[in-house]
Amino acid sequence: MSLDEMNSKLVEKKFKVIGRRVPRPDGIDKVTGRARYGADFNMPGQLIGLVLRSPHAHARIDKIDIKKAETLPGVKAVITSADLPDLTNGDQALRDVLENALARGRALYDGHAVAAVAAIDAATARKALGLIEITYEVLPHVTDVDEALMKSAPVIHSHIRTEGSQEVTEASNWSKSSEYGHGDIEAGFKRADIIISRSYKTEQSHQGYIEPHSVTALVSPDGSAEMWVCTQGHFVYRNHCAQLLGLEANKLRVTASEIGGGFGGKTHLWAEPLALALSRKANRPVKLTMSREEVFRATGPTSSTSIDVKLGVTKTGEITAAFAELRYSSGCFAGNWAELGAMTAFACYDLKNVKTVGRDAITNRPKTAAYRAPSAPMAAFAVENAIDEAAKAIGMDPVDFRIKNAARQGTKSSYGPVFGPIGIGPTLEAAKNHPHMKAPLGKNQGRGMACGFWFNFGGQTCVDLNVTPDGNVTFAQGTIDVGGSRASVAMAVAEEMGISYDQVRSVIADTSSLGHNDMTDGSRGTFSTSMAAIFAARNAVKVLRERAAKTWDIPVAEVEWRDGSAHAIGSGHGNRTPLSLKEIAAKAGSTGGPIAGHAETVADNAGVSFATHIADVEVDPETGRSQIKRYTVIQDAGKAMHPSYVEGQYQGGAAQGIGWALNEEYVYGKDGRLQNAGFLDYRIPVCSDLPFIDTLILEIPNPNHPYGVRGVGETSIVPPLAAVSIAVTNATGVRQTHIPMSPPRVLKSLKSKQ
Amino acid sequence: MVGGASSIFIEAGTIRELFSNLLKFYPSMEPHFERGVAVSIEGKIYRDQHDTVLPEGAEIYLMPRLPGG
Repeated sequence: MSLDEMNSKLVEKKFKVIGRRVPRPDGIDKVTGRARYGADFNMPGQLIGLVLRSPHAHARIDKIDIKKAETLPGVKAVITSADLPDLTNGDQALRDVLENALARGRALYDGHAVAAVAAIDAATARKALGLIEITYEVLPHVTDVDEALMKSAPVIHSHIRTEGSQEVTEASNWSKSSEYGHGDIEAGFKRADIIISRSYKTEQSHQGYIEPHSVTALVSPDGSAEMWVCTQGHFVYRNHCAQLLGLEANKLRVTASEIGGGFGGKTHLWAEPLALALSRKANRPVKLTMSREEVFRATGPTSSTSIDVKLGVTKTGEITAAFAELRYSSGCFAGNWAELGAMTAFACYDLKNVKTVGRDAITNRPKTAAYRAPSAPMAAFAVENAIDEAAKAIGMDPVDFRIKNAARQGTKSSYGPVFGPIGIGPTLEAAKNHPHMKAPLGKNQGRGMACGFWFNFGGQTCVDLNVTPDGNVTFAQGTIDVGGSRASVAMAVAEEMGISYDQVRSVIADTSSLGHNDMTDGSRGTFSTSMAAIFAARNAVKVLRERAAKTWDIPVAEVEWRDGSAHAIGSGHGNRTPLSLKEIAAKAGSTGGPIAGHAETVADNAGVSFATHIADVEVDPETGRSQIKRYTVIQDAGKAMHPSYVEGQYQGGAAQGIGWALNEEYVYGKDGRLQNAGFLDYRIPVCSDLPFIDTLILEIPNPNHPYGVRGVGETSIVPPLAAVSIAVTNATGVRQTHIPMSPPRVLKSLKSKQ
Repeated sequence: MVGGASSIFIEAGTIRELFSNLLKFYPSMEPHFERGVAVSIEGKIYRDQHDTVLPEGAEIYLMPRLPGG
């Protein structure tokens, strides 16, 4: 796009539709139960697919005997890794996806899929699973991130060498070393009056989306295939599944269902290749829906982490040096999750001397997946606690300490680039002046505040706008709507075309109807799709002006589009009655055919994002239970297209972060098996656990979007771990260093104080 | 990857030329490019638009292509 299309005049434009709280296009369907989620899709003749999973944390698979299962009446297909040959052609990341979908010779974690069946009903499929005979040789395992990095740990993959380290040459679980920073931290620490140094841990958590994964696949003998699936990116699923199954991408048509939450967990393939492989073998449609236990055991939670932070500060409040070593578990395959932590850890601050070291570790846990601003919340938890501790050590208000050291335009970020205009300063100032900061606290209560950073990105988008013969508009988008993008893009189209929001209907098109679209991740959904919608609408308006010019037989340069109608301008045409969209659409057949606007965009440079949160927590000293009494989110949205959705993103991220901070945790036994694969034992917050989460939307226009919009989907999960832990620290007088702060852990910390 | 250097000098007019020259002079960077590399030009992060012109004397950072949630 040209600079002209992004100029500040457009950003400052007075909006008629943008910024209103219009009805949600999916609202009635969702509250009445009509919305069709993944498991709601059914086909005639469909089989039920079920997966057999490893009960061992690490085991060699010596033999799989499927004969008895195959001959069970009603069973139509049984697959093992032999039915999914390796077609990844040296692409290690894709090979990891393949191996994660179905174990190849070794089970790498408790829950790893080893075989799958398709049968006429669930009871038969379940019986068939019991007839598959597997001979395992149990191998040593490791699930703790620090233990995995020890020399004594069992090495999970013999091919892994530490990328980024020239010192380590033999195979180990340390898959990647990364380093960021600038300046001279040793000199900085020497200049400090006080040095703060502490270690922190966070346990693995799951995104906890309410809708489990579900896929229905149909592969035909002619090489064409269809898949109906719950996903954050059906084009990416299409591309990867086609590669893994040896299909041509254009022959695999993927239709996305409504999505009951994803938060990064539905950006990766899990059971989808199995459903396709089962369908191919059975020559019947196969539906495969995960149970909640399977979601916990075999999809992608966050990293568990272990982090050391050291800060040097002067008595006047200057941070002279900052260092962090961040160790992140990536689960059973290599990842760069610690690197993301190393990049984001100190991004909120203007530091002359800073160094972060990331160490990614492979463990016998499920493959780590993204979870809203992946890796940033854990890093922020450790760093923000150190910031809070440093401020208190020099007797400075923690908010003022952060304001003094906050990154600003021109700051060389801790991960390298120099920041342009950024919003952390305004969020901190807003926090300082917020009534919440001045509200009195009760007995056993504490207040914490913390900042958070995330990158945001834009990516590839392809959209299609069509004017219907009755003068309304359909809009096809290929970016999954997880947070309200259908409403936002309809608003953008209405704004550009000068028509009402009700005249635009936006739908999620299947992969055969549009060009490639990236996933809904990186806070890109509304940012990038609304940008494409604006350009598509402008293209459609150009066509509408041409049609009006044809109708009037005047030059198109003398036709202006305003308030949903074509107006003839110039001295010779002043008295013409404007032509409405409806009138032009009705005559489209005789003026050149259907009227449409298309746009294909790559929205780079989405602009980084900052947030500041304030939490009040009451801790019961008898039980160690923490209760959130008040919570406020302050974040820059650039321009809130639909404020209710923006507030929802802020509140949702905060709620998830609070759950992670206080209770959510993967608990592994000594045998390496997950002990709490269900919502009874893995406790996410429910309404009664939370107060109303207050939000403050700042609108500092993003110069890289025509309306000034900034992605808002992820940053709100970055500060809660830190804000809540600082609040508990202030309530108890004991620095909280281990997330989640479950009642037993808080009680233990209280006892250590005594 | 680049002999342990924290910064290197490369002549290039666009991101595409930059990637091409980096691979020419530092072939060990290939695995990084296969996984995806983003470029920060004067603080602005580009992941896809390889036609983007590099301003003369610009400070360029190479970053991993980041996943999001």
